[in-house]
Amino acid sequence: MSESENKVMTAEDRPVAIQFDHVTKTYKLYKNDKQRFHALFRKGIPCTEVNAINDVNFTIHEREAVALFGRNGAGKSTLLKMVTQVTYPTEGEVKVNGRVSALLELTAGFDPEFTGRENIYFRGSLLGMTRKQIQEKEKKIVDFADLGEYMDQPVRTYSSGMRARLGFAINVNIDPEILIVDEALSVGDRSFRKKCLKTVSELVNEHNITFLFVTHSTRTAADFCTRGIVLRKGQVVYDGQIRSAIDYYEDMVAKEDEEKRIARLTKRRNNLLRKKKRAKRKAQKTGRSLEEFFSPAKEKRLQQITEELLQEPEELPSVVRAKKAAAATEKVKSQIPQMPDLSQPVKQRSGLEKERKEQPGRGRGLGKDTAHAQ
Amino acid sequence: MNTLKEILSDHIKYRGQILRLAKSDIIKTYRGAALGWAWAIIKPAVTIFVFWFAFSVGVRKGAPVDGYPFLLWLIAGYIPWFYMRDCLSVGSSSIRKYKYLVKRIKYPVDTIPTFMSLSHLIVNLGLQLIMIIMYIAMGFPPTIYYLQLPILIFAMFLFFTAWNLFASMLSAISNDFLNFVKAMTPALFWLSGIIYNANKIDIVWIRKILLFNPVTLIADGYRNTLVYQQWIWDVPNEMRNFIIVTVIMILLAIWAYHKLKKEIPDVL
Repeated sequence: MSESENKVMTAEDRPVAIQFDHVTKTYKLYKNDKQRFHALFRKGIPCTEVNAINDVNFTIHEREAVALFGRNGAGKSTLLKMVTQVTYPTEGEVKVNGRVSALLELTAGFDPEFTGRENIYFRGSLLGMTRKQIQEKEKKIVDFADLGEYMDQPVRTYSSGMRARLGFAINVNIDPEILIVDEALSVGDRSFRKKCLKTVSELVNEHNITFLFVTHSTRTAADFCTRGIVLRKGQVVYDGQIRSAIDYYEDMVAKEDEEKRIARLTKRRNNLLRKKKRAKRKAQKTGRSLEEFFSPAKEKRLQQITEELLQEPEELPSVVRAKKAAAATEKVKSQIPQMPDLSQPVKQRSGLEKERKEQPGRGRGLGKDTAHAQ
Repeated sequence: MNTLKEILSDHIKYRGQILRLAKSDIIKTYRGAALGWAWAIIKPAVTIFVFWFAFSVGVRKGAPVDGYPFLLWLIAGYIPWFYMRDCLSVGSSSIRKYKYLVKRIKYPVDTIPTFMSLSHLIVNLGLQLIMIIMYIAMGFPPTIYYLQLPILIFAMFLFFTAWNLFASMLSAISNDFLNFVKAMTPALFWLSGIIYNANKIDIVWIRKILLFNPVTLIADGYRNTLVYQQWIWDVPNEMRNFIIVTVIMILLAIWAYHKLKKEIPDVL
């Protein structure tokens, strides 16, 4: 029917761009290089195994814009390395369909001896573009990166900010199908950041790329992405709507920080209590006052910490946000002209009075306006 | 043998890159220095001069070898050694040298040793040209046997590129391996027939071992072409040895790549 034709394809109907199927990535840490070498040929060499990514499953379809959240060490970089196929999963399968354009760790795979310009051609040809195709994009990239004369200097002379700018300029201007952006957006001055955000939003909205955004800045993520995945210690702990994902992530971070804070304070308090106990015993033995073994400064500190521990924890970010939103809604609601209650009989009076009666609870300021509303 | 298919298909797919990267590797190696590419000639020239002087004037008192001036006899075997030595020392750390191709972007790691080997070969071909010119200048024009030079060049390239792949994978994992190779390189030189003629060694078992050294086999091939005027199939035992050694090397390279491919990005 015409209605189903008009219906917009949901994400799940579109072809798959990135798929992680029970993916685990284990890093083996050996005592030294020699042991690692021996381990290739012999079994039984001791090593510590660390699961950077642990049984992760998700599917990203074409043209989705997904944000990836996680604290440092949660496994975001490892995950990205697998999406860009720089490294291989230890278990499970990673499927990627489409030309991936990514900036990993800012240095972005440049040849340090080549100039910026030469690197443009190098990267372009690695992505399968012909020389002519790259030439067409060259000017756009050079302008975007805004490196001036450094464009023709070897990349090893660049600062990390310049490298990020060049990398970003190349990545967004070569018609990527899957664009991955991570902290690179935090480099560069405001005008560069604005440029980046503008280009990315163009790419997402007009060119229908698949977009994967790794960031700590939840606000920017909310601007671009419809879906959020939260990683914690190598596992996906949330995968859903961007707003709820942001709430989940911020709450998680707040809770973890609070737990750490409490743990730290408790430890210190216990230390001080132990010292105080010992001090009391010594005081009793020698018959001197407690203050000589446990200074007033320490006592004050102990009380300070105990007070801090007894404090109410701060409200979770999601709760704070919800409250703010509710308050704002209330404020706006109170200012909207309310519809007349047509179920009640209307007394015939002068038009002005009728309006005043049927629209209670409005501020004085707006009363002026309604006087004109006829 | 899926790995073999993978290696071959990677090479075919990225052949443009391989050529470009080989060219840029040469440029990079000589770009920084003031004299630039002249170093590619000066260094070997000095080495050869030193050896020539020590052996020709010092040890042998200037006697020619088998009708050819000692210098010409020497460089026939020595010039290809420069390529082989480059592959043994620099080529073994190809992957380490191009870390960024492994760790930051998606790139077929198995083509890295190939373009490194190619870059060394191109430089060596220049030296070989100079060698031929020297022969002509000293009154020994090219003979029909020179036609087998392309075969020798290809054979040398095949063996040492396979070596590069094998050694690069292993040395990316272990620094010790790389140091071991570098330590063995002079041994390989002296245990080959570059400075002396391996065929003339009397002790049979030593001669047999020397004739399995791929360096000897290549150097002999060049000597046979330039000096002794023999086709490579005129010395079938050497040809057979070389084929055996090359096949083994290729198998080792495929094994190393297969086993270590997934470890390399994490370990480098």
